[in-house]
Amino acid sequence: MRPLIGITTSVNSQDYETSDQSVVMIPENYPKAVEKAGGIPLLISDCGDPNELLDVIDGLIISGGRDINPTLYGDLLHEETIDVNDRQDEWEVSLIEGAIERDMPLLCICRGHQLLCAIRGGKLFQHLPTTRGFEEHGETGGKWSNHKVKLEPNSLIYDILGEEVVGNSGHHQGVFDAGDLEIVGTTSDGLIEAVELQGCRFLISVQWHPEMCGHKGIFERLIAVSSE
Amino acid sequence: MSSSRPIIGITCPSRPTKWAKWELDAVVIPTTYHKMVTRCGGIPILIPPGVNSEIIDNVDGLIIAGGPDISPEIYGQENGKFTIETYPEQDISEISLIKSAIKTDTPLLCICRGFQLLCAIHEGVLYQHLPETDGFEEHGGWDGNVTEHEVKIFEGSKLEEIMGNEIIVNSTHHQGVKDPGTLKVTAVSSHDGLIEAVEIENLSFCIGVQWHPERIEHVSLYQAFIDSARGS
Repeated sequence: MRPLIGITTSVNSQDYETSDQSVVMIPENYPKAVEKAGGIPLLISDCGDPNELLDVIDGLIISGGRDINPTLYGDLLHEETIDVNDRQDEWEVSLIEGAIERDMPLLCICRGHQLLCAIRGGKLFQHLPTTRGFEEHGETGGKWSNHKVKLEPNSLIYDILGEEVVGNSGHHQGVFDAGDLEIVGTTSDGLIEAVELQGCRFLISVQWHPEMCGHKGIFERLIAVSSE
Repeated sequence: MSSSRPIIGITCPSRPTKWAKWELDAVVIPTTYHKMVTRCGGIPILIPPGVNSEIIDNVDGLIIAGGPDISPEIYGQENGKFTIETYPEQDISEISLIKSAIKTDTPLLCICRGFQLLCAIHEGVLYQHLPETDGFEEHGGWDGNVTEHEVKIFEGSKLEEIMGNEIIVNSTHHQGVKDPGTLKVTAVSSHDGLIEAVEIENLSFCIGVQWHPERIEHVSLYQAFIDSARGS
C-alpha cells in the first residue's frame, strides 16, 4: 500500500458552473507531485478536530494559498495583506501541531512555510515589494520568477537537493525570523527560504514551490519516510 | 468505526481554473459537498483524478460527485456536438472507485455525473443533450442555470424509505440517463419521466441521483448515507 499524503486545500470564490459558488480547491501539481513520487494524495479541509484525519494519513503537506493573519506573529494587518481567513489559519495550525506531536512527516510550502514559522515564534515581512532590501526579491501578483537558493550543509534538504537549487517566486510576503526553526536555505537578499526542525523524522519547510519546479526528490523523500 | 466520525471520500475534477490573480490547472469542487458531509457528522476528503480503488479501504463512504460530462465511449457512443469537455483520467479513477465500493460494500452515493457514470458502467446509456432530445427539451436548467421540478419516488425503494414518495429537486444538467442498464430505477421526473434515481439492492447503501441533494438541503439523504458509512 502506498502511503496516504494529506494535502491542505483552500476555499475560494470562483466561477464554477455558477458564478457565485465557493469552491474547495488546490492546484493540480500538488497531488500530481505526490502521485509521481509514489504516494496517494488526499485533499483535506477544515473538518473540526483534525485528529481523526491524522489517524488516517501517513504524511502531510501544508500547501500554498492566501496570506496568514499577522496576529499569529503579533503584527497588525498591513494594507497589502488581504483576504485572510482565521478559520483556515486555526485549522492548519492544529494540523501542524498534531503532525509534529505525532512526528508525522511534514512538508510546508509557501503559505505553509510562513504559517509554520509564525507559530514557532517567527515573523514575516508582510509585503516584500515595499520592504527595504527585498524590493527585487521576485515576482508577485500572479506572475512567477526564479532565483537561486543556497542550502546549508548538514541539513536534510541539502542531502536531497545539494548546495544550491533554483526555486520559483510568486509570493509577496516572506519570513525574516524563523523562531526556533533551523534556517537551512536563503536567497542572496537574505530571505529565509527553507527551514527544518531538528529531531523530526521529516520536516522540511520551503518558501518556493517544489511541486512546480520539478524538485521531486523532496516528495520522494517525504513518501519514503511516510512509508516507514 | 462507531465512536469516530466516518471518513467520506469525494471525487472531483481537475480543470483549468482561475482564482484571485492565479490561473492554473486545479482540483476543484463546490464547498456544498463538504458542508453537507460535515453537517451530517462525516469527515470529507477529496479524491483527485489519478487515485483509484486502492484507497477504498481507507474510506468509510464514497461520493462520486457532479462534474464534467463522462466520455460517451463508456456507453458505446461518440461525442455528440454538446459533449465538449471530457476528462478520461477522472472517468478511469471513478469507475475503479465505484467498482471497488460495490465489491467491498462501501456506502456509495453517486450524484449527477456520478449517477450517470454509475448507470453507464452497468450497461446503461445516456442522452447526450436533453435540450435537443424529443420529449426532454423542457427538462430543466443547464449551463449554470438551476431550475426545480418534482420527482416521484417508487414504493419499496430505499430512497422512498429515506425521502418519501414525492420531492422537489434541483436540476442543472444537460445530459440524462436514457437506459439504466442493469440498475433498478427508483425515481422519475414528474413532468417528463426522465430517470432521476437508481439503486443497487442487497448493498448497505448504493444510491445514484440525478439532482444535487447537497445544494437543496436534502439532509435526510446525506444523513442516511453518513449513518450507513458510520456503521461500515
